Parts: sequence; C-alpha cells; structure tokens
Amino acid sequence: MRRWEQYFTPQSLEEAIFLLDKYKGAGKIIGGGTDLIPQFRDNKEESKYLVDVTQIPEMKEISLLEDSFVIGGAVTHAQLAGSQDVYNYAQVLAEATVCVGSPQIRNMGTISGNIVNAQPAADGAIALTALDAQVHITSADGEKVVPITELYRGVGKSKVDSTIEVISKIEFKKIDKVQNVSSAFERLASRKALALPMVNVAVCLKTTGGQFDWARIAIGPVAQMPFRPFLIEDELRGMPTDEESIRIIAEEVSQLVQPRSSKLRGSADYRKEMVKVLVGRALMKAIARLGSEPY
Amino acid sequence: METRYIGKNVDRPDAIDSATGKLMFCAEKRFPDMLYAKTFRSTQTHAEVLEIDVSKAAQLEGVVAVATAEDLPGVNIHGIHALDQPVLVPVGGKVRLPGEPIAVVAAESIEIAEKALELIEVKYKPLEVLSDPELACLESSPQVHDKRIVREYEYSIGDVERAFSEADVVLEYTQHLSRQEHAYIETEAGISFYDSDGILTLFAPAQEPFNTRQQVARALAIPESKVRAKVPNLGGSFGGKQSMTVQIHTALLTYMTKRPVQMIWTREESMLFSTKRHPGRFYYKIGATKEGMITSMLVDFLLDAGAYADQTPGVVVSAGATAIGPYFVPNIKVYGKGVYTNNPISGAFRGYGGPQATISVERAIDLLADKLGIDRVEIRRKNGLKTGDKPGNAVMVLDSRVTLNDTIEQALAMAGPKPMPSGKNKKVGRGIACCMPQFDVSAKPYNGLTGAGAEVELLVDGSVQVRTGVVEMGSGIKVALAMIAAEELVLDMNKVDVVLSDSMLTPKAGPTVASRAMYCCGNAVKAAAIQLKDRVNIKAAEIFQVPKDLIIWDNGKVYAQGKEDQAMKLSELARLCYVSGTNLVSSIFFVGTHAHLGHSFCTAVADVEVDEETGEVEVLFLGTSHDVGKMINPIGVKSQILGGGVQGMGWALMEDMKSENGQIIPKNLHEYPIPTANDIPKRTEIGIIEDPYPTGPYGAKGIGEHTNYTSTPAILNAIADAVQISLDKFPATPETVWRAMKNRQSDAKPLATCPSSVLEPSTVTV
Amino acid sequence: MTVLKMKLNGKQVEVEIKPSDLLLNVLRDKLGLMGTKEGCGEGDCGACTVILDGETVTSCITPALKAMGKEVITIEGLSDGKELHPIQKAFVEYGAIQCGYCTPAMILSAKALLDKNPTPTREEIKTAISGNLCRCGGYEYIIAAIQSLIKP
Repeated sequence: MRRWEQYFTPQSLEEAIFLLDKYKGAGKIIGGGTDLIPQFRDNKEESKYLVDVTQIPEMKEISLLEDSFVIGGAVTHAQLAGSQDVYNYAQVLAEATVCVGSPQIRNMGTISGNIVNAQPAADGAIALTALDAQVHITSADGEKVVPITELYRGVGKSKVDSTIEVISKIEFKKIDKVQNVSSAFERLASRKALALPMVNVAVCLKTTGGQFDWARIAIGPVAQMPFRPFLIEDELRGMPTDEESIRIIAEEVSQLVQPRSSKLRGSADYRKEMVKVLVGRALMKAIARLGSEPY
Repeated sequence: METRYIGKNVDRPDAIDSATGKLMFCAEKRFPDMLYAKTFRSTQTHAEVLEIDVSKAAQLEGVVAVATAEDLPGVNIHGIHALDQPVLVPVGGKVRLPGEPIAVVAAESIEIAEKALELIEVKYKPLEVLSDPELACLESSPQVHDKRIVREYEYSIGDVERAFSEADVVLEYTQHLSRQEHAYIETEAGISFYDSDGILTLFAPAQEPFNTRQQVARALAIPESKVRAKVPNLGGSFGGKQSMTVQIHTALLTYMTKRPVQMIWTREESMLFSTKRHPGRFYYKIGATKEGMITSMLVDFLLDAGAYADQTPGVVVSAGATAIGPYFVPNIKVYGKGVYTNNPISGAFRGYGGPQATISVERAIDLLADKLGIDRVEIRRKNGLKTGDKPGNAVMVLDSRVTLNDTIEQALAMAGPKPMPSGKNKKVGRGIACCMPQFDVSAKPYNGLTGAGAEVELLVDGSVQVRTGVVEMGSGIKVALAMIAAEELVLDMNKVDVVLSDSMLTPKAGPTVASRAMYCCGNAVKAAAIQLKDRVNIKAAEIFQVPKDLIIWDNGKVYAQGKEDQAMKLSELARLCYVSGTNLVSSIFFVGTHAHLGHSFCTAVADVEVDEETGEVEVLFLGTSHDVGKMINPIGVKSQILGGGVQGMGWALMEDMKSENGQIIPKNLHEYPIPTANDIPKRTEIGIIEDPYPTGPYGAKGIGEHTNYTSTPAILNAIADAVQISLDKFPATPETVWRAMKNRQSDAKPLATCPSSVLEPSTVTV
Repeated sequence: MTVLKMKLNGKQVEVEIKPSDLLLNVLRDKLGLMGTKEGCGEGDCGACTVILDGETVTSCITPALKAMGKEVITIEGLSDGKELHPIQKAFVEYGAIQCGYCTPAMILSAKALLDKNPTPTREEIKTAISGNLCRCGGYEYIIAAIQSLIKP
C-alpha cells in the first residue's frame, strides 16, 4: 500500500483551497475516502498531502430553497438517502443514494466523490445527471459552475482536478409533483447490497394533460460516462404518457446505447435489453407518482 | 430420558468471547520481536522458472530473511492426499497456476516486506496453458504434471445396458458446475515461534493440527516431536483451510531467523491461492419404467482438480458415492475422474463432491419426471431409499428408521401452498431436492480418516478438562463436547473446559471434516467421561463403603444413594483419588465398528419468483427437513442448517469464481458476491426429525454439510419450474436466467450435451 | 508522527500515530483493541466496522485522522466487563454467532441501528446489516437476535 505523508482537515473551504494551492499538485481532496483509500492500497494513487473536506460545515449541508436544492460537496450518501426533503423533492436522488454500497459506505462516501470518481455506473451521479445538476467547482482561481454532463473525460477520469480544485456544492431544480414534475430510479445488480449495478437508470419528467412536457433520462454504465439520450428526450416532448409510447421510447433508447460486455457485470446484449426494461420501468414509475395513488 | 444439557439450547462460552471481541484468531497474536512475512507470487499461469534473484530484496534495510526453495532444509513438497505441490517453486521447477509462491520475505514491518517483494526478480519461460478440463486427457494438450488424471472412480452393479434397452423412458442430461469460493471472512493467517523448550510452535489455520505438524516437519527436516501446531479459532473454513497455506512459510522463516514470524494473507491472496469447490460436469443417462421406477443409471463425471491434487482424490470418490442420489437403483454404472489443469486448485468444500453430484442428479430426476409426465415429488417418493436398503454405490446398509420420504413430507408440510406472483411479468416456481449425505463414523483407511481420541481429566479443584484434536471453526463443537462431559459427570457447564486442536496438548482425533466431529469425538468424550467416572467411583465406593453402582454424582458433590447428607465434594474426592494413586485422566480412542459411514436424509423445498423481463430471482421460501438422529445443542444445529442453506443459495444464484486461461477474474468480495442479509430467502423453515441413531452419542448423527447438498438444486429446480428453462449451467444470475428464457422458444427441449469420450461408444446414445 | 485525540469507548485517549495510519490499524496495533477485524481491506465485508460519531464506518478504509476530536465505539466499548450488553446477550442466546469473525462488527451495526431506531422492521434490520458479510450463519438468527430487542 502506498501512503500519504500528511493529512489535513481544514475547517473552511478557503483553507482547503489554500492547502491545495500550497502543495501545487501534490495534494489531493479526500471526501469519505471509500474510493481513494483502496486506490492507495492498490498502489494506484500517490498524492502526498490529503485535504479532508468533510469537516467543513457549509459543505455538509442540504438546503432546500424555494425551487432548488443546494447540496454541499461533502454531503454523504446516507444524508441524502435519509433526508425527508430529498425524498419529497428529489426522490430519484434518495432512491439512487440508498443503493450505494452498504450502510458503512453510504455513511462515509460523499456525493461529490461519486462525481469526481467518474465511474459511469455511479448511482448518485446517474441521479444527478437526470436532475441536470450544476456543479460548483472552487479553486484558487475562484468558482466556476459546470453542468454535470460536462465533467467527464472518460471512465474513471474527471475534468475536476482534485489536486487543485474541489466540488464545493451541487445545485439542481427541485422535483415538485405540484408542478407535475416527477422522478424515479431503477437498478439491476448481482445482489441487493454491496454491488455495483449492471444497469441503472434515473429519470426526471414533467407531464401536462397526459403528455410529456419534457423528460431527462440518465443511464449507466453504458458509455464512458452517465449517458443521456438527448435526441430521444427531444422526440418524446408531446408524446402521450401511456404504456405503448413508453415501450417505444424505451426500445429506442435501448437501440441507441452501446454498453460493453463485462465478465463480471453482464454481456452487452443483455445490458442493452435491460436498458429497455429499466427505462420503461423508471418512466412508468415516475408517471405513476404523479397520479393520485401512491406508487 | 430427562437430561441435564443434551437436547437443550446451551450458550456457547466462545460465542460470548466473540460477542465481546475477546475471541482470538490467528491474526490477533502478537509477540515481541515479531517479524512480518509476505509472499512473492508468480504472475504466470504455467511457466518454467529460469532464474530467481532475491539479492536486492535481501539487502533492503529491515529485511531479515528472504527464503527461496534453496533455503528449505527438508523436502520441497506438500499435499493432503498426494504429495505434488512445491512449498516454494525452485529454479528449474514449474509454476502451474497464478499466485504460486516462489519466495517469502520476513521483515521488521509489513511495509518493508511489501517493498522487498517489489525488488525480487524472476525470469520465466512461459508454457502453454491448459484451462479446459475436457481437454486434459488429450495427448495434444499441455501436460501440467507427469500424469493427467489425479484420480478415477468406477462402480458398476447389475447391467445398465440391458436395463436401458428394457426401459420405457431413457433420459440424458448433462449438468455443468461452476467454481465456488469458500469466502470465509477471516483470511489465512498464522504465526510461528520457538517456545522455551526449542519447539517450533505454530498458530495457524487447519482442520487438523497433526497434518500441519507432519507437513512442517517434513519440509524443515526436523522430527515431528520438535513441532507444535495449534489451530486457534477459525473465522470460517468450510473445508477451505485444510491445505497448507501460511504454515510452512512462516515456520521456515522462524527456522531461519529464530524469531516469531506472522503472515496474514490479503483478501486478494486468499482468492488467488486458496482452494475452491471443484467445477466440472456430470452426464446422466437414466432409465425408468412408465410408472416412474428408476431401473438404471449411468453417470459420467469430470471434476477440474486445478493445478495440484490437493483433496481431489477424496472428492472424486465422494462425488462418485453420492452420484446416484438417495434412490434405490438396481443397475448402476458410475465413472468419474478428476484431472489436472492450470486452473485454481480445487479442494474440500462443505459436502466434498456431494453437492456437485446432488445438484446434477436432482436436476436430472426433475427432467425424468417431466419426460414421464409424473409429478416431481411422486417420482422421489417412489424411488427414495428406505430402512434396510443397501444403496448402490454407498458402502453401508441403511440402519436407521427414518426414510427419505419422512423428510419429503416434512419439507412439503412446511412449505404450504405455493405463493402467488407479486405482479405482472413475475412467475413463481417450486423446486424440491433430496439427498443422503454420508458422514464419517469410523476409521476409513482408504481415504486417510481415522478414529478420534479424547481425554477427560478431573482436576483436584473439582473442575474438568476435555481435550481432543478437532477444530472449532464455528460449528459449536466445543460447547457440544462440554455438554457431553457435563452431562455424564453431572456437573455445571462452567466446571467443564474444552481444549481443542493442539498437537502438543490434545489427542489425535482426525480431521474436522465430513460431518464427523460430533459423531466421532462426541462418542470419544462420552466414553472417556464414563471411564473417568467409573474409575473415581471405585475410590468413592471404598470411602462410602457401598457398591460403586450406588454412588451418585450431583453437581460437584458425590454421595452414596440415600445418604445425600453425607455427600463429599467432588474436589475432595478428586484429591483423595490423586493421593491414593488413581489416574484422573481417562483416555479413549473411539473407532466405530459397525460400518464405515453413517447416513442421514435431507430434503429441501424452495419457492422462487422470477422476473420474466430481467431474469432476477427472489427466493421466497427455503425449507429443509433433516434426519439428525438427536440434536445435542438444538440452536447450534439449526444455525448451521441456516448457514448452509444460504451458502447453497449463493452458489445457485450468484457465486462463480470464473477463470480465464487459468487467471481468476473476481479478485475481491465485491467482484465475487456472496449473499448479504438483503439477499436471504423471505421465509425460512427448518424441519427436524429426531430418531436417535443407535451408535451416535445420545443418538446424534452428523449434520454440518447437509443443507449445502439440497438448497442449491432445490432453488435451481424452482427456477426451472417457474419459467421452464434448463439451467444446465449456473449460477442462475439474472443474465443466465434471461438468456435461458430467450433460448427457450427456439429450443424447448432440455439440453443434453455430449458425454465424455471415456465411455464405450455403445453405452451412449445422444 | 502526530497525536490523535478522540473519545474511545467513553474515554478520552491520545495516541501517537503516523498521518497515514488507518483507523483499523490504530485500534488494533496501537491500542490493542483486537475485537475489530480485517476481512478484505477494501470496505467490502464490514468486519472492521466501528461506530464513528454514531455512524458505522469500515475502519479499514478510514484514515485514522478522520476520528480526530470525535467519538469512536468499538466492540470493547459495549460491555462494562461484568454484564453483557443486551445486543451481545441476544446474539449469544439466539445462536447468531458461529465462527464469530463477523460478530463484533455485526453487533456494532445492530447497535447503530437500534440507537437511532428502536423499533426497526425486518427489512430495516436487514438493510442495517447488509454491509456486514457473514458466511456461516445465513443472517436469520442475527435478525432474530436484533428483533428480540425491540420493545413492544
């Protein structure tokens, strides 16, 4: 196992940025460490200075504003999965984060780690992709806001450079049934805990009078990053929200994705077929949630 | 009979230690001046070792010793059933699978030892890899060892050919079996040191300390009397910690450095180099009358031994002996073999070939019933073994009153009505599977098992120590043996201590395998306690001036019948015995006389729900009925049954230690999934049939392996029932089930694949 | 070297560590608390679970300095040495323990659950221990032991 030399727990964002700036690339942000520490163990990580952002009060808050959420970069999966606000106004995120790893991993792992780790299967990031999250990234040069879909360079490769910058917060519009907006998450895995998904799907949508106003569909792991079928999302505006239309949409999405075969998590043709099943189920579930009956 | 402890739930003292964090495993031992050891392992699958250079590693500061084959004073070989495995692969030798040890390092810290490994250089000449066991016997295939077959099994009774020609229906079926990892939560770990008498002492995992002692002594060329092997509590084993893992390596480093040495395998090392459950395939040809009576069975099976023999010789025999299932079949021909490949080493895993055979025969019986148009339960009822039967290739006459049908009826009663599907695209199915595991009850020269020795000592403070060589790996044998001694000596449990598995302190008792510990050691401890009591009673009779059969033992007091007021403390009696020359240590070596093996029946019923769109399977119900003879500690019996059931479920649904060209693919516990609490059956029932077994201690039979036999095939049969698929390959992962459903339309017939070439062509019709 | 200060099993402790030490190794090797086990080193098995400020974490992938100024509970902190903690007692009585390697961590996961939710459902119990692998017992008696502690 490789080892870091020093470990800092700054109490403010400014302090964290100062430390990164001071070590000029030899430092690195650590959140829960659930991905980073195993990378040290496997000799794949060699940063010398770790900057732990989980003690920074403002980064640990979930704030529900009038029509949006602001999630601190150090908020854990367990916080999101257990938040009544998130359940009420971003159900897809609650459903996704409760699927991550195990209770222990959810207690430690952070939502921003889920983004920076850049795994196309990351449940939290899939949900945030469907939520069209805007990610606030802070460095010594200041803050920039980037849509989550633009943060990926490849499998395991993020455009967020944790040696010089940190995800300070994540922002997205709340999902409010009163406005006919709804969301849902579906997942298929080898077992019911401690398992990466074979396929996961998150959807957010708005309907009016039995028709789609819009829908955002995020799918993993079928590409180098969480996948959004933008063309199909455009196509479905105005389509009826009945079973037949959803079947057609799901089929089209399935045709579009090009998952890889994995020796551990399923062949390409199976995953492609499961994309169809899960997209269909997620859309149905989200639509059902807009109805009067509880789903 | 009113008992004091037997048949009642008794808390395990070692469980209390475990719950408080005090239970010590191998990785918890610490000694001053201790060194940390790490292993340099081959990355090649099959290669000749041309050169080993450890000079740089040896010069690293903090490295105290680097050992290669050249440093071994004794014979560079080990093995359980056959000696074919090098302790450290030498220059000029071959590595036969990835992960094979070439050098071991002892250093002042783990970090230094790890760094030293990076400085070791080995040159190889790669050889062609043999990864397909079906090709192992071809002349053109690469040769892993001098011989290609580890062990063959053959059994024949009656005339199968004639019976097939006369049968109304003949079914052929081939079942493929995946490789299962033991996945005990404690990885292999051990520590060695010289004690003050100069005895090389090891605390290391094993299922028999005496085997460790023998193998270490041979490798170091020292007398066995100079080695002490102690097996502390094991964090799970299930057959997987029987072979040499860390033992010879730490002992060698202690031998070289004269310092304590600890080695702890990482999870990746454990997955890479521990033994596995044999994968393979079983071909069946079964003939039956139209009424459903099975008249003949032909079995041809192949087990992949992997790179070394390890337990394959025994597993092949055990699989062969179980291959017919718990059925009476007049004409039988079984041929099977285990072959060398460059795959992970297959060893013992709870059931020892029996589960592989049981899965295969139970799938085949379902398909036979379908072909006959007979109910799948009915065909089992009709053919199930009964008391007095001398079943085919098993080696005993059935001598207990419980029959297979008793367990079938109990399991079905527990299951109740078949549940309804929970939604659209969901299908529910029910499966049944039966077995008759054979547990070891005696000395069996042909596979190296033996009798069981036990000592019971009365100490002068009135407490009792029981000593025997079996291992506690979680099954609860320790408390069960204490219960037996306390029962016989009419003592409180807290007056009895049990010492296990220490080659210097405990008598040889054979390995803790084959569901034998309760039967063999239970009998030995019981007899030793009776012998001790009898001996002490001679003195008591003298003191109390009454015949010795009138002496009563009562909770640490002893008195003559009717004269309780004149009772003497057991401690005082013990003291008087001691000073007058009575031997207070009784010793028994139990060897069963009536047969080589005992048997017990088990039936499992499983209900599953299959998602027709995704192939996901949810186990709604798993119920198993067990013919246990007599439960010594009921909570312990049931706990083992539950655990075995979930292990079997894991194999049925998710576990597959895949390898490709000899290299394993899952390398950790998320890539190799075992069931979590979220995955267990929605409802579980345990059925117990008690009918004391005449020769068992208080009537007890062996029980440890039985649910492993039946839970896997019951679940597979239930899936097949739900969605009419063949499942000739498993685990039934969502994708496997989905694909089988997809292929169902095009090929509705059950799949029958090619039999092996070893059978005469005339015996096979495809 | 640096000094880790934390409240451990109810007592303030100070221990000299390397900044790169993991919590598991500090507990076992520096403080001699061997009840916390290592099963995989990657957070996959849960055998190293401890409670950090009320939440379960896998100490094998937790940098020790994450515990600075916080409260850590290990299995050694549950019993006063005279009486078993009710969860420990239930685990023993209900046959929830076989080899015992997963047990300390399993008990801590049960404690973290019951401290927050004294009346969990069967599903909530299963999920609360879903990060603790047990290979011997099949979980059913563990669930029964935890259920026995729910006060009606």
